[in-house]
Amino acid sequence: MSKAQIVSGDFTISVAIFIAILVMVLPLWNYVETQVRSNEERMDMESSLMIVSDVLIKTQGLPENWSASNVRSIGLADEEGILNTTKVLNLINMSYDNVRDLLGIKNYELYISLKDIDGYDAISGVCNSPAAYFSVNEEEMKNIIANSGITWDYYYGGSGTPDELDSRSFYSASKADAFNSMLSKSNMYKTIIIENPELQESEVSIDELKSFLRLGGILIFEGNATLIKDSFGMHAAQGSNREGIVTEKNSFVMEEIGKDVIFADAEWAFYQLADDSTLHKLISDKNDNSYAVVGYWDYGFGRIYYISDISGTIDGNSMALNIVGEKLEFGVQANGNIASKTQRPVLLSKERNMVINMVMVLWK
Amino acid sequence: MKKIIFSSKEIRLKGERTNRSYRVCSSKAQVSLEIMTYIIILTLMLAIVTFAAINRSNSILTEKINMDARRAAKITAIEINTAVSVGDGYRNEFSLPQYLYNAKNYTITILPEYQRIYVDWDNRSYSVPLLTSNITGSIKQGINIIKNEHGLIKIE
Repeated sequence: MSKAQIVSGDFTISVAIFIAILVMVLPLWNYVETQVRSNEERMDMESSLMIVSDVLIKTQGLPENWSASNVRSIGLADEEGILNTTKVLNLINMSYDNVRDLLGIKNYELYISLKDIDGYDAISGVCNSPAAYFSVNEEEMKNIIANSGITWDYYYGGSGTPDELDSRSFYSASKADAFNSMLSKSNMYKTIIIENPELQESEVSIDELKSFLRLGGILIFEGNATLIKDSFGMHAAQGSNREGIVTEKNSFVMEEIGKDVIFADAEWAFYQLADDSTLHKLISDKNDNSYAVVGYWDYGFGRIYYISDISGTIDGNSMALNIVGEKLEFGVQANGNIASKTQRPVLLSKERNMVINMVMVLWK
Repeated sequence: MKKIIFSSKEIRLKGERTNRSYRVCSSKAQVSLEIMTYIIILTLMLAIVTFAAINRSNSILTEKINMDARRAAKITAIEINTAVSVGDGYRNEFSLPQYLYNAKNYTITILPEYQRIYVDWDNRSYSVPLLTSNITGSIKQGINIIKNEHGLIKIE
């Protein structure tokens, strides 16, 4: 009897100890394995990230002018370090799984975003954040930039109280005061949008606008061109009821060359004289193609986009100008435990070069 | 005593000792039953732990083989990409394992028309994109020599 009790007690204790050790060891084993596995995955992610980001920013892809339907290898560059906006947009429009497969990272989730050097989202349009918008009475451009993702301040020189929409700040005064207030803060902006200002050079601090452009700012100017008609490296003439024809296709005017454009009220157009900079006539006056009703030219390190009238139709549809475009991002934002991130400075070619950071994250 | 243990008849014959004998017999059976129960429990636990360990070690082995395949593809991709980046005159030697995780056969192929490297094993495949499609030669297990001759990447 005593033997049986001793044996039973010993066994019970030994089994209890064995189970206790097992219970302690199993999670520890699991933990160590998880740690080893995540370290391996992190290293694998980092090497994949290095290879894939190199391929994206250094190669043109296959074929050279690839699209979502014929791509064999994805590359976003025109040349090493200079990204092609059209290829970036092609990537954005591709299926997520197809991109991961082509990049050899189907084990991981992927997120790519392009940010400017101040951390604002890069967009495919010509307008960069932060932007200033000036208007007097006509406000057709306001509906384009509002709720587009652009960070913008609103300067209003008209009467009454307009809808501020999603502007970051609102300033209202007489048209010259509102305009000059905007110019006095021009170093805060990357883009200035001016809609039909009905102002003369003598009424405003025009040198500040020139200085803004010389330093690399972008001016998008719509309507009455009196303010910039002579001293901004190009010349303008007033007419009436101009009709247009698409003469150059690029990422600003993506319509087919030769298409007719009917405007509601296009009066002004720009033309180039011998000493002027080069005028890119995207939509020319149909009756005299030396005039641009929609076009752009460089001024200093900056650029001026001129639109005679934003209300135009092509084949019965509204003329779509790529002013704000879309946010340049692709994939799924990281919410996993293991992630690897790289940030590569590149130039984004939007008919002009803009320094941006390509942020790429692999995660699981 | 001994007789009682081995013969149930004798237990019945020797009435007064029967009770005691019965108790001894009952304790021994209890011990035997307990040992059997413990052994069964321990065997079951051992079986469960062994099964889990084998299962997990198989999954670790598969993962190790996958990792080795990815590593082989990436080593080659990084060598080719380095040769492209450094430019004309680049020459280097690099080595690829004979087997994945010392056990699995694999093949490694460059498809210039897709600008990528494929590693195939066990009906599985892994690919890595490259910086160039301008490549001649083929990759083999063991030592490979890579050169950049006027932009053309040669592998020997």
